[in-house]
Amino acid sequence: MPGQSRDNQGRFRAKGGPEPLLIRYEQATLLAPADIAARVENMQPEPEGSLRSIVGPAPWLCTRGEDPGTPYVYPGDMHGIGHAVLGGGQQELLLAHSGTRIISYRGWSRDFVTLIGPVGSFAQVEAPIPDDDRPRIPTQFVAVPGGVVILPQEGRPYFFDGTTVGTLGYAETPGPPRGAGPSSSRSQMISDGTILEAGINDTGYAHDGQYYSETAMHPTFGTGRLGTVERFPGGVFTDPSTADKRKANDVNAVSGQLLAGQYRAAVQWIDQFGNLSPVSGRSEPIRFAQQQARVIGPPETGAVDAAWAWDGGRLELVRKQVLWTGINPGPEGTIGRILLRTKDELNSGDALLYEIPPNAADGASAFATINDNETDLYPDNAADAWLIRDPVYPVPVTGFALGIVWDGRLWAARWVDSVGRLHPSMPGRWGTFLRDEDIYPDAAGQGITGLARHPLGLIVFTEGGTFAVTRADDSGGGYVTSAVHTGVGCSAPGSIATMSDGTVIWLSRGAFYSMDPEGAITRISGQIDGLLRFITAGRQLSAVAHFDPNVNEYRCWLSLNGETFNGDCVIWDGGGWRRRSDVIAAATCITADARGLALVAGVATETGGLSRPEVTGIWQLDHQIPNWTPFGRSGVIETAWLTPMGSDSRRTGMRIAVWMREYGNAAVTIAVYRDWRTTADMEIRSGNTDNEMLTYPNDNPPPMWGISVYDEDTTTGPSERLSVPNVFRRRRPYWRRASIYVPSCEVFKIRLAGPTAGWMFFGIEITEDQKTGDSRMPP
Amino acid sequence: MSIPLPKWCPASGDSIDPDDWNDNFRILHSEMAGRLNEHNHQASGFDRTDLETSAVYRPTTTYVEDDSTPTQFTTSADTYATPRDGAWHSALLATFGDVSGEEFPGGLVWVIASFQASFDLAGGESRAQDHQQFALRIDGVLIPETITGSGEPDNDLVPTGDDNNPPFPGPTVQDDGVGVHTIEAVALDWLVTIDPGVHTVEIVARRAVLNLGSIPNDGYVKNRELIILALVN
Repeated sequence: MPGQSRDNQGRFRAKGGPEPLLIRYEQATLLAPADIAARVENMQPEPEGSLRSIVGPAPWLCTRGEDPGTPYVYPGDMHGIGHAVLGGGQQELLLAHSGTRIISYRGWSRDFVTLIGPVGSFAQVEAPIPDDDRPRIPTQFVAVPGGVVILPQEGRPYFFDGTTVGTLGYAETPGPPRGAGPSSSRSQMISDGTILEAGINDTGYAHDGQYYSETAMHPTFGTGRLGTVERFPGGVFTDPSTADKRKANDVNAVSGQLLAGQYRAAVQWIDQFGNLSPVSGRSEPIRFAQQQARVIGPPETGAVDAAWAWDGGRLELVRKQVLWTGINPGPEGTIGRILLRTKDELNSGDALLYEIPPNAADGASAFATINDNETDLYPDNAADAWLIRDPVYPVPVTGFALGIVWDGRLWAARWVDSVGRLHPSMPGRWGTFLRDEDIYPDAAGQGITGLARHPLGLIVFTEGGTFAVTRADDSGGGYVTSAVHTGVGCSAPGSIATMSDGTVIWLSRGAFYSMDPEGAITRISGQIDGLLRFITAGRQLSAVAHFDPNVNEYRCWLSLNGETFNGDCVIWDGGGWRRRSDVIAAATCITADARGLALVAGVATETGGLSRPEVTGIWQLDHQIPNWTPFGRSGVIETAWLTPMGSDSRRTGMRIAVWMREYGNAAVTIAVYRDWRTTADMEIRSGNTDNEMLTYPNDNPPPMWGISVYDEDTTTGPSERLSVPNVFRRRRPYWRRASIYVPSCEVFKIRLAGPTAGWMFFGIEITEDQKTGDSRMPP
Repeated sequence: MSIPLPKWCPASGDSIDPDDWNDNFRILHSEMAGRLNEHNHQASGFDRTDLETSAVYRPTTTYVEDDSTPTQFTTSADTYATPRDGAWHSALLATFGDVSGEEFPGGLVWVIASFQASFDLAGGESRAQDHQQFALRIDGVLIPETITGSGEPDNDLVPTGDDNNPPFPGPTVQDDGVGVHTIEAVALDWLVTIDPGVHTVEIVARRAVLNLGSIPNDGYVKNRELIILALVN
């Protein structure tokens, strides 16, 4: 039959291309699954080379105080899961997106607590979290040093540090502060009512160190520090022969004037996680008028009220301190405000903003100028020379769908305002993204659909291309982008996983690709192209995968045949593909600890008993608990179409020997197909007394759970067919032979389906009788 | 995880393989041998008495006190009289970091001092200044932020001064109406990271101004208490 074969589930299956796989076997040789299998389902390789039917899954958490087999009831459909370890292993986080909530596991009370939930949920943060069946990227939980970045795919990103959850960074920008400084009155009267002169810097918020003047601060506060001063040039020094002359000389030596100047300020918030807000606009300027440095001093002798007069004063006395008001408190989570100020814009030649260090402790090492989120004013007496810290200029954190930590930064991608934008955070400040550092890797403007770490650098996928971001040089400044492949992109961010040898695997438009550590991209899904033809294209975005380090497997759950969920799992072990069908996965993760447990958030089906057998929750793969029995399924091994070495003649009358390891009191079903047919020509089922394919050697059965009694020496009752005495022993390999009569076939295939209880398989051995009669010759 | 989930659960009729059993035990042993954390235990699973003293924290604390029951109106023998030389003097000294022969490993400590500042209004005034200042000193280094009367907003003992008096450190004390001594409660605390080893922590006091006019009032530090608590495990 030309073209393709179709299995009994109506799906195409091929290996290496569109043609059906046809393998020439050698008689009387043990054929392992890797040699002849075209389909392996719900079977897991064992260390010694056999395949064993998978078990589980087990519910991660059962309801406390009730039947231990009753799974915990989650808030709703699962949309994401993530695991992280903080504090060098001291704290373990298991987070999930269930229904409209982001929940966190609390093993000590055997439940989950809501971190983010709808209004009225009493969550730490009450905010809308999407909960629908639309095809979307699963909620991402990006582990970063010190916490987890939560990306629910709609709305704001969040950060959880193990104790507190809050929005990641700032989407808002503070308003500019208002400045309060001196202004100049029209005139000034001295104490006797005489109008002396026009006032200078004497009203408004006018504070300096000119003692005993109206603007003088209390001596305890010292002098102001703002303003540019210059000493009077060319001071005339006179003969210091008298006290008055000496005084005049002293004044000449230190006196001078404040130059006209101006200052402006801005505000930046800082939150509990160290993230910085965008910098506000600049305030209106505070202006200083030109002013001589003076004091009102008493005469050399005499009463206070007599003959007090202005006199030259030390330069620093005329410097000012100013006040910034209207400093906006930040949104919830803000713990401080950084005030930014220019130096004297008119005299310094520098109009840039600098961080104002707090007046008191810590100085320039303080985390903020104002270490609270309450006060709205700040008296500023920081000299220009103290302004040494350049501010950073973040952009608003609107929302993004993907994130990964690489090169010490969180790389955020697929922003709501530009899906092609990639933006690195500041190192350690995971929610602070500086302006002008964004990158658009795909010149075609396609949206970013995946991120992966790789020896080449940060691999960035779009729908139709693959790009690498690398550091521009070793100095730490800047990044460059290069195209790795302009034809292959990624369709599902969740499908990206890295194998133990550094190979990255992902799903792209109905095919799987791998990128080896050298950067070579290879299509690896040829064996299952027939299956992947039925992928639900619109749901590729939601495919999820993990790499299980315990068995060195890449597993990807995806939607086939128009399903609205990821109901099929394909497994790549580096050489071939298998499938499993034990759980429907909305999201999956591997625990980030030595256990490396494979967890799936999704739906598993229980057998019997329950009115609602489909259970939503978190599942641990390849584990099982006694009181929760998964819905029955078969471990299936199906060969390719087989033909003997000499295939120029039809064959018949075959026998097969199936090699297994003893497993239990059940039997494997064997179905035989011939000549490209899709219905079985014969089946050997349980109860076939001649050919029954028991999963144990009935001539020397092993001790069996529930049937045998350890060390029992009996030959009667239920144990009469068992060996005596019964001792535990490792499962032994054995073989059983079955006759499969497939007369005059051209090719044939064998399908082995294990019992629900499970079985273990090594290989099959085929022998045949060649019919030489004329009537059996091929046409 | 709260319950280590077994890997294999034999169903009736399954052959019994010791490897499977060992797999299950291995999971449990692995948890017990290195993965005990908050998720392994119920919230009320342990009582304090179930734990060794140092099971969770290895506390390093020092507590010293002096003159715990001062008499208000007299200067008892162990009440510390602050000398009038303007220098900082140790009013109470504690040695920290060597508890039961185990040396402090270094880290954050919380120093808490409380005492009563007493001032002798022997001159009969109803209101006067004693100009006493207090601070904490660690290994001979004064902690500037703990100096009372420094004028910092969070410092209760603000500088005093009025129209007739220049501002000087130290509180203004007032006659409480029942005697010639006034007593004010003072508390100082400081969080500081210090090196491993043994350290000295002191309450220090000084008379900030030497010449107080015609009345050389006496200042005292009474009911002194010093607690040093290591915030490390």
